Amino acid sequence: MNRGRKLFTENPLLNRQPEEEYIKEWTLFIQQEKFLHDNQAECSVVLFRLNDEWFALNTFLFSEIAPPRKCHTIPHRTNAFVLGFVNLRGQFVVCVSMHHLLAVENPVPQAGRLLALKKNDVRFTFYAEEVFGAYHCPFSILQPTPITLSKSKDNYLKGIFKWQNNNVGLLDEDLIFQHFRRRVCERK
Amino acid sequence: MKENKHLELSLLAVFRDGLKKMLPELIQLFDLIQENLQDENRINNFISRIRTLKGEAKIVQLDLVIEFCNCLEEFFNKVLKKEASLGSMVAKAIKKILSVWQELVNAENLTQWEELLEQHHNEYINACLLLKKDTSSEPKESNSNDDKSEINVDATLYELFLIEVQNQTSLLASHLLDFEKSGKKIETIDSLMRAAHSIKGAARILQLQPLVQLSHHMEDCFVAVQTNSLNLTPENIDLLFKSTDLLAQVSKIAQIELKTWLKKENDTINHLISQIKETILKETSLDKKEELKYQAQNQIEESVSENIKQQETFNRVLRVTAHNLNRLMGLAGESVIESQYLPHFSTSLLKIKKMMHTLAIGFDSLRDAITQKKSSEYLEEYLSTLQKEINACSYELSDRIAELDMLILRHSRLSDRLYSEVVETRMRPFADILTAFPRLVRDLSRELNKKIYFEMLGKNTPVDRDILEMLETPLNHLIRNAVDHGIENADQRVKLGKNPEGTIKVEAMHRAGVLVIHVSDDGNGIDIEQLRKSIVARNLVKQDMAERLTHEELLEFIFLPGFSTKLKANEISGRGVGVNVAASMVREVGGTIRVQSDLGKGTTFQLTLPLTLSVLRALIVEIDKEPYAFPLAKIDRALKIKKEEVQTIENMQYIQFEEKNIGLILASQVFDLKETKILEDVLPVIVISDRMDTFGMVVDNFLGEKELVVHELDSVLGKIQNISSGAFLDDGSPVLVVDIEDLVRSIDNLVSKNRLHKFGYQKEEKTPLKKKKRILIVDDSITVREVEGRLLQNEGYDVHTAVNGVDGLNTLNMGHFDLLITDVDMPRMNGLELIKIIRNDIYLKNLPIMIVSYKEREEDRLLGLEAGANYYLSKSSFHDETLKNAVEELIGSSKKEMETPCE
Repeated sequence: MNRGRKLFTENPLLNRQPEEEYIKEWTLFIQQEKFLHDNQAECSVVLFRLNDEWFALNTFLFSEIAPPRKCHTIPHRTNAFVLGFVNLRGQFVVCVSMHHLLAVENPVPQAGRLLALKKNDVRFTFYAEEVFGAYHCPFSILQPTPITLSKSKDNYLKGIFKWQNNNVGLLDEDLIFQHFRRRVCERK
Repeated sequence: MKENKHLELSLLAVFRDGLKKMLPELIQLFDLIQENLQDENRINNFISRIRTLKGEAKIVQLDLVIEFCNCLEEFFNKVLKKEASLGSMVAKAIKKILSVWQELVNAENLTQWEELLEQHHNEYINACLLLKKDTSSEPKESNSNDDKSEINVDATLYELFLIEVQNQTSLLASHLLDFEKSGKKIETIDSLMRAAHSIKGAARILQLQPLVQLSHHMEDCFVAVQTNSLNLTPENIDLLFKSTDLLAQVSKIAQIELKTWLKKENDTINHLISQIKETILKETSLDKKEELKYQAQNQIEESVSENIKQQETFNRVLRVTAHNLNRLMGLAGESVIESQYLPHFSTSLLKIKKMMHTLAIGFDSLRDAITQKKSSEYLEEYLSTLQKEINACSYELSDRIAELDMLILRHSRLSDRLYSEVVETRMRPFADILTAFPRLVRDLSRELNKKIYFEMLGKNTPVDRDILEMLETPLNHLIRNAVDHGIENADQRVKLGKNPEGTIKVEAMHRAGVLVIHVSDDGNGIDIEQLRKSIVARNLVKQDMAERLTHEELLEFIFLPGFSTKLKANEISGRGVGVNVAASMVREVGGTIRVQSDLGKGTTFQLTLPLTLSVLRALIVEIDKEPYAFPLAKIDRALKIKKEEVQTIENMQYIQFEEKNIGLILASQVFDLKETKILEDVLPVIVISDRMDTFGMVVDNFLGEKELVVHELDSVLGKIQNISSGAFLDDGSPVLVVDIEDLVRSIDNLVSKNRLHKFGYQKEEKTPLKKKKRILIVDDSITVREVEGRLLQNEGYDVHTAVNGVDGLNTLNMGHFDLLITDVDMPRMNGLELIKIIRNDIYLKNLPIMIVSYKEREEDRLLGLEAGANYYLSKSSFHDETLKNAVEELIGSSKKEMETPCE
């Protein structure tokens, strides 16, 4: 206690009184932020880039984001979507091509990062060229997908939002896991 | 009636619609039942409807209705068992309720429901009470013919019995259903037989005589079906269902109550048994063709091994000793500390880097000095300083290397210990599974009036718990066999000059890295000549061939399914299932089983098993640039063959090796991978075989032999053809372990379809396939899905499946389909609802829909077509071409479509 006070008094920079204006400004800011929180539902998503398109998925689904590694073909099962097995912390996990699912061109396979998803004991991994990290996405900025896409059978988007001048597609995890479960059991 | 307040009107409306549809039928049925109480079919029909109603009532939480349905169901079940009769009072009460329901249905406004329900509250209660009274007031004769059956076994054993019965009865029920739905199938019958067999075994351990007999007769019944001497009518199946239900009831009874329950149900059981006996006797016609029998048996052989594989366990809980866990904790902690050393090591390397840097600067200035032509003394002095610095640097470096060596040593020791400790957690003493056997032997020997001494050796031998679990059934079968037809009667033994008391010995030991278990008896042994005769009699081998077989070869025959030296099967053994089960289970884990027998001296079964399933010695090979592991224990040879040695006949390539001609197959073709062109002159070939055939598989490269730690693959994928499990190489990259048995089967398949490619030649260009027509099959029965799916796949369609209406709808929304085939009765969303939704969907409404249901009545057909189906088929039509033709009619043949665009 004594020592703390001593330090406090010894440093004139920290010891100076803040200005009235400054305190007011911050008070307002903190108040406002809280006010926003109450009114604005938001969800945490992880942003990742496939080739030149950005997508987002609920953060809770991600169990790991890891450097790329060797992927082993699964005889009779590997197709355009299912790429093979990867070693994720000593366990065999299926690796799929999100590029294929979302119809994005895949110029250099296995570049960037390996993203591992898990939901209700179903897990799989996929490659993305770049991962931005978690982002808090307020629902208010979410826009509906274009009707040409939402009516299409290959639509996996919940909505679209703007982020740093990019259009980001928020993916529907239920549809994606459903698709995964279906495709992964397909035989050639 | 509080619940009513929470009721959603929309749900109620659904319930009302359901009731409306069902009620006329219910009333009609009930009237018919009143006229003729003997009509079991109608009663069953009635019960099933009541059950449906109950389910619906549960959804809308109408407690009174549920309770009433419950009572009604119970009552009519009793009526079926002739334990209750439909008195006029009861009939009146039921009629009253039915009329109340009629009122409910007629009520225009759903809000009136609450009122109506409240109003008739008393009637419900009254009816329920009447029904209950009628069932419970039935006189119960307590037949006490099994007084001796003191059910005082140990509690854990009883618990195990309950679990076993529960599992097996649910199997029985589901397979019976399958059987009823999709007709006779070898796999189904086989599993039914095994389930009944297992219950029998379990019940015998607890000495539950009535249950033993019941399951024994059920088994007899299935055996009769299997050998085609009996055809099950729906009535027969009802009977079997009833028996199954009864057995299932057992699994819910506490140990103390079991005795009273058995007494109570004794009549029912005896009744069931006599009925089953009757069925078998009535329907068995003895002049059935022997051939059919053998065909059936051959097919079982395949299905046996598949069935075992299906038993998967999820999220098991294991028991580990505290001591073991403590050591594990210690080792884990140590490894954490070890890893903390590494950052420190890394900083010490930085020091060397700094030294190198100063050295580099020193050399730079030295070069400058030389260009400036400094005096030689100066240069010499400078050089010696540099020399010193270099020395210091290299000392430092060698110190670090020594440190790193130590670290590597410590770390490898640590991980070795960690691994062996983990392996030890998987070990249990052999005694763990022996507990039930002494009792089994004692009881059996008393039953058979034999004197047997049961000896167990090597009780403390550690065994991997997976193997231990799997050992119980084979041992049970082998011991039962030994008691029943190994050991002779005491009198006979005396006559033969043997000790009147026979000995059965079970011994476990570790020998040369494998677990060896002997089950031996000192009985009469196997009569080789008798065996030879019965092999010939069963048409397994021709007479002249049988003459030439050696003892060992002859003894191998007893492992065939359905092969028994006994003339008549009894409850204990002799069916020929036991030894086969034992053999297939042992082979499953990569072990072997051998039998040795001296006539008059005894028989010994020797089981050789791997110590653990988690480590595998394997040959790593390269196929299509990726590693695959072939378990060493299961491959015959790894050869390097010169290209000139490959011979060709009828466009097939083969090699001669040890005077055998071995056909060659490209690994990449079997695994459905890209074909690699073979450039080298030496072909790496792996020789694999099953009991019949030998194949040589050409791989790209041998990478070496390795000890692998086996990992399970992701269960989402199910069984992957030709692959059994996975493992990781030193660098952490995945390698897949090949399932040799599966592989041999696949190769056989390829060969028989004549689809082998020759290697070393350019593969002919495949004509690009036209997009196949996509068909979605929605059905809650996996059997139906599989059967329909395979049928259509063989016709060249692209088949997808879904398990219920909701799932089906989701699938439809995810891609284009050309045809939907759906069942009607399904959980969550039934077929009719699904069709209605599709017909109202702008995108899907033109999709052709076919209903395949086991409801064959005309009104069901009309309901389906009304809902919007294009075609209605009954499930009995899988066997002929009807399904195929119907699909072709609706969307055209897959083949025609593929040919036309090419023209």
